[in-house]
Amino acid sequence: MKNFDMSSSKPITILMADDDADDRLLFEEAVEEAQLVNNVEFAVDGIDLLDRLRSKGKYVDKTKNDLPDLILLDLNMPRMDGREALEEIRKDADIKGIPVVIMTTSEAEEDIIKTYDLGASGYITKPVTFDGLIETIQVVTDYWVNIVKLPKRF
Amino acid sequence: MNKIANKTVNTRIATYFITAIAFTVLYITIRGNDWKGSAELHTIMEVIATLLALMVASMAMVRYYTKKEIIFLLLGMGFVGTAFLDGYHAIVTSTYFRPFMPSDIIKLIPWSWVASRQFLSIMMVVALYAWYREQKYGSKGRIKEATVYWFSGTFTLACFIFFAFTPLPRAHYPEIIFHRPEEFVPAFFFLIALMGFLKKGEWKVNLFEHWLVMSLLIGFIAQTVFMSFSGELFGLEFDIAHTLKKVSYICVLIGLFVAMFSIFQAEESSKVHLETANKSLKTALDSLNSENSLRIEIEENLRTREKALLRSNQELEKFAYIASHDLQEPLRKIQAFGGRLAKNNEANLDDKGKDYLLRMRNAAERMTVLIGDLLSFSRVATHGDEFSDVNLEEIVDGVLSDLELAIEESNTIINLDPLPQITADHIQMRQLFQNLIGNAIKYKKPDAAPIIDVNVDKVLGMNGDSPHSSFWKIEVKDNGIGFDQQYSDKVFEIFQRLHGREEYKGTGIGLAIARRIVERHDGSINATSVENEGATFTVFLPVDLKKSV
Repeated sequence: MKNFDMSSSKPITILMADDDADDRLLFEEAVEEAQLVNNVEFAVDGIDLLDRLRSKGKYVDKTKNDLPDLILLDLNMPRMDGREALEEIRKDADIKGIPVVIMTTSEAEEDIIKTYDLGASGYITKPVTFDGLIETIQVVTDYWVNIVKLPKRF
Repeated sequence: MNKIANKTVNTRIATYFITAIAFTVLYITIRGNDWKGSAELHTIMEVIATLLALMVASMAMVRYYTKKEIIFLLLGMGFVGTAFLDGYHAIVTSTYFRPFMPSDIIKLIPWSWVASRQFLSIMMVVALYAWYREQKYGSKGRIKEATVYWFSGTFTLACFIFFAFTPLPRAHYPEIIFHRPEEFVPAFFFLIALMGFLKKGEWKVNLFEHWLVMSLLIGFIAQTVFMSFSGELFGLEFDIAHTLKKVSYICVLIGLFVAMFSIFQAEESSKVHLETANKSLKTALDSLNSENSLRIEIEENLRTREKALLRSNQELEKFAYIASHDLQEPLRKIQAFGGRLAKNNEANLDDKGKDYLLRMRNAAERMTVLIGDLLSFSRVATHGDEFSDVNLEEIVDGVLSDLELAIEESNTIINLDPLPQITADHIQMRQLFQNLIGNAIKYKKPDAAPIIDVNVDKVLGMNGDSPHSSFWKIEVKDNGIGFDQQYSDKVFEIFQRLHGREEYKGTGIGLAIARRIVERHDGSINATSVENEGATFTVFLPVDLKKSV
């Protein structure tokens, strides 16, 4: 396991959108073990995700400052799936700068192509093992939050 | 058929002989009889002859204009001329005209008789000649209609004028045995015509020609037997000859009638035939139509079933894919939480609990492999790549380097024939040989190093159903544990295993996938084995498989 720099001044927030409660639980535990992320939030479907990002519905008290540093997005969800949610995010000027990494079980070529066309920042399949999940979280977060230079959002 | 024809021919030959002999005998018996006719009787006979000749002529011409056979034109014109000459002969030799003619009746009667006979006999020979020309030169050799008209017209007219203005020489020569030798000239022509028509042979099958031959025969007899001996006018020989002339005309007339009758009859029977044929054609057409509609129905049925089969197959493939794919999801959770449990809470479990957990996690592990195999099995058909040029040499090289570790560990010896270039799915070929060679190493005897032979041969069509004519026969032969030959089909079934999991790892999918891959390439695979001596897997792949477009 790599030794990640925890001294970064800014606390890191990850928002994970997944309808599967088991996956959310495993993810939460993995994030804990990864010791890199300060804050994990969850959305259960595309609409919930967009409400959170736009501070609507039950998220009215959230401000722009609370926007996550990285979104991990499942593709197949009820009400609004990951593809539609991604499309909405990339059309919304306020939130389109947030990196969105697809994390799904689908290995279908058409899903990979489609989501990159819609503006996905990356595409990973859900790791099979727990240790794999921890490593994935570390690598992806480190890359998208610490390494990559993104345009200023605020 | 032939027998009947022969019988007819024999009857006809007999008729000719009997006719000839009967008249000769008749002449011998009546010879010396001094019966005597008269000029009036002669005139009546010639008038009858004229009328008969006219009838023959008109029927022959009708026949000619219906079927344009040259023989009927010559016959017709021959009898037209003969009718005119006979009529002329009748008129000028009658008691009314005799004073106006330049010659005496004793000369005029024989000479004008001969003129008519001569003309007819010549026309008969010409008819024969015309037939011969047509036979030899085809339609090019055909004598022109106008020539025939011109010739007969001229001849007749010339005779008229000749007898009207020219004094004739004597006709009777009592000093020689034949009193009228001039009669032999037309007799000679009649003979030629007779021989010609006999040689032509049509009389054997054609009733008209049979009667024509009869006519020529009787004409010839009238000339030679009777008229040539006629010493005086209106004598017995003279009148018999005149009668025979008419008989010979009647023979032709009968022939023409018979021919016409047979034409009508043929037409009638062909009409009946045609109607029958039409009816049976209609029946056949009806049954064909109903058969056709039945066939169309069956074909439609077949197509519908084929579609349904294809659809259900596709649905099955899809089901297998989706099922295995979706089964992975909960399984992943079982493994993940099992892992969490083992890591975080193992200390809290007693030994039995730890054992249960271990077994649970192992089962989940196996299920992961099974689902993965099921997925790859269903992917053979649903997610296959396109067919392209594949060098099997490279494929097998790749497989061997993948299996390098296993080969080294087991000291495997591999003997490879040169492998061909084929058209196939690249990835699936790799999978196929990976499975076959991998199995050969895996199922080795515990006490002997594996020896694997890969033999290649090109063979002609292995079964009648295949659209391909030649195949690559690739044998993968090992010296391993083998199996009982009775399982040679079972080894290719999905999840069929001949050994316990503890002995040999695996889910029993490898050969099922192998068979599926080979079948997707229009080929086949089979296995032969003797237990404890080794197994041989034989793959047939078409040489001429088309690339995907």
